[in-house]
Amino acid sequence: MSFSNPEVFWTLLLLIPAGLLLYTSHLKGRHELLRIGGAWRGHRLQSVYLLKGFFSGLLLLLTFLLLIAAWAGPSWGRAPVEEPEDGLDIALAVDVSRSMTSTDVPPSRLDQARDVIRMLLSAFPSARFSLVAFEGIGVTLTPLTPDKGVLARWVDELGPNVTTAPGSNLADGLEEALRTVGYTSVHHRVVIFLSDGESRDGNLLAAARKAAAAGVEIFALGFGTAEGGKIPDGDGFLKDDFGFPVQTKRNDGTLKMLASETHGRFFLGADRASQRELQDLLSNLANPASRGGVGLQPVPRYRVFLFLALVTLSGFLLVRIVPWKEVF
Amino acid sequence: MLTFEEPFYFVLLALVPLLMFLKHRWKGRGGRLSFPLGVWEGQRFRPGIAGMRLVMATSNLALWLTFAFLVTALAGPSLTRQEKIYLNAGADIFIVLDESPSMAARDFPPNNRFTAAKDVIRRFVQGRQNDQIGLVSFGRDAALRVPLTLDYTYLLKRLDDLQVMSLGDGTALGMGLALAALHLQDSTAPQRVIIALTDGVNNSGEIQPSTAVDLIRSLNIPLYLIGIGTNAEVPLEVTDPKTGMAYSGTMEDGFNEDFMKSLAVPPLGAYFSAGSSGSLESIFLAIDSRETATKRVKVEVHNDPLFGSLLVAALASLGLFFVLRKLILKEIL
Repeated sequence: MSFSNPEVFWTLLLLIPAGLLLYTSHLKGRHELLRIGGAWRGHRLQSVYLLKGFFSGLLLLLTFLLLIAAWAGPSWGRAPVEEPEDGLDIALAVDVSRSMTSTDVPPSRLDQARDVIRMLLSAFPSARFSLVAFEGIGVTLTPLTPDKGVLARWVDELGPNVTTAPGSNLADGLEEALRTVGYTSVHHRVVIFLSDGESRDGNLLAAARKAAAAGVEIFALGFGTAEGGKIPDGDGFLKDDFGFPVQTKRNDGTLKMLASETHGRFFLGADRASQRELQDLLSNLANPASRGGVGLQPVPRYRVFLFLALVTLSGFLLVRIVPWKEVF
Repeated sequence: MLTFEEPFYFVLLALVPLLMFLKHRWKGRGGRLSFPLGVWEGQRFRPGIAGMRLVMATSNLALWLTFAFLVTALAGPSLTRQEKIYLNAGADIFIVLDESPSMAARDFPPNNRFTAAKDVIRRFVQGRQNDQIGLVSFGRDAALRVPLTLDYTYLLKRLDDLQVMSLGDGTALGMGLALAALHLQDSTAPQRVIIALTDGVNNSGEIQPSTAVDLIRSLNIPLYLIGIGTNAEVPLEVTDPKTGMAYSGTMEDGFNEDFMKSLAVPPLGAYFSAGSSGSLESIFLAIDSRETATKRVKVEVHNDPLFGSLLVAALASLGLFFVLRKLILKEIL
């Protein structure tokens, strides 16, 4: 089972004060029933109240729990769906922030990304590509086009100087990449996201969900090492306010989130085997006939939880309504 | 349009009146203790707690709304929208636009030639669907501004950014045409077209217009050449975008219409003369009607589910019921 909005499970924390409120209310109720019922009737009232209080409280908390689980977007299993797409529209979103100039993967992260793009341009001659570079903002360098010559020229130009807004806004880069493939087409639409995963601005999760809603898969390629590297600056390295060299590391978590939100994949960008795997995957997407024009999509199961919530809520009411042992 | 994936779930709404009856009207209902607070056979005791009654009514409303939201969410409401999807490729069109200083001549009142041309191109692009369009401009040199694309938003933005004289003082018509042909040569579209707009004779660039036209003909691409302006004396105002220097004066020399007619000869293209905004517009309409690629279209229906909002509404109303009952009314069960 997987959840499309797992972060809503944080709202489960609200069940703790709700449970405490139910418990204190129950203790208060026991005390008051004893006072109202008196010695001869109070204990009988209390025994029924204990059962009713337990079950009604439990069913109410279960209702909240099931509603939150349904809100989290559960899904399991995959169902076949018709895939009419024929051909590929690929948005290349390239991180050109200064951290991408780090040489922890020689010659540099950006050079590695350039090599991957060149490989894709030659491997998919009939695909259409767009090229978006991002730092503080995302900028379209070429719109979606079959013209590989123009794309190849821009790939050579990629660097921190192609945009005028410094920073690391992965969300804006993704939004702009989505815009370039943001119209209906019989082509399968994907975003190849090439970055070290260091994100400082923007809401990347929201952008990823937008991609998922538009049916665009993201293949995220991580560049750099987990140990990290320094950022070249002139003859030396970029330093922070205290004079220490800035250390930049590849952040797989950010990139894996992008891929998982859109049912895409995460790859290590500099790894040759990963590059071949990406190429095979894209070839498969470009030719839906090779898999019978049918794809698999996760089946949403929120209804199961909603229906159970309806049952527990009805149970919560019935526990209160139906008199037990002719007491109350 | 609002639709429901599983409307039979609405049958569950029948539970609501039944539960309402049991909870509020059934005399044998439990969960309460009765106390005789009135005089025997006298009037019933009604405490003055109007505020509490309001809270109780609100909490009950919240409870039944929760049921209604849950059942509606189960029925899977969604907004359906139809999208037109083109199953085949449209035409590939390159627009070649003159940026030479003479394009600043103000004989298309209230605009100059350049602005009038851009306005008509904008309307032409907005009227296309599924046709990839590219943009080349030329002055002393020629430059590819936008490669063939369906991204009309990007194309129009780049068109707006174009300025007279940004490629220098001159008219490299041959270079502009050759550049467009070069970027069209690998196109596999069922129709390929070049539309060029200029107001002068070629006086710059390494490629002569006749050479470029030979290349275009060899690729079997129709060329529509539009001569903009008149031979009359017209005022001219232009600012060099590189230096910021403003120039003004009058312009007399027109274009060599016979030469341009020789470049675009039917049936593979045509020459048009545009002396006003109206005629420019009608020329584009004429080209539009000539170049109509067969379009195979299918309409796809997309559903945007709404259950998420209803779920949040159900959670909120149940939460309100709980808070009102336990914190305000101090209910013990």
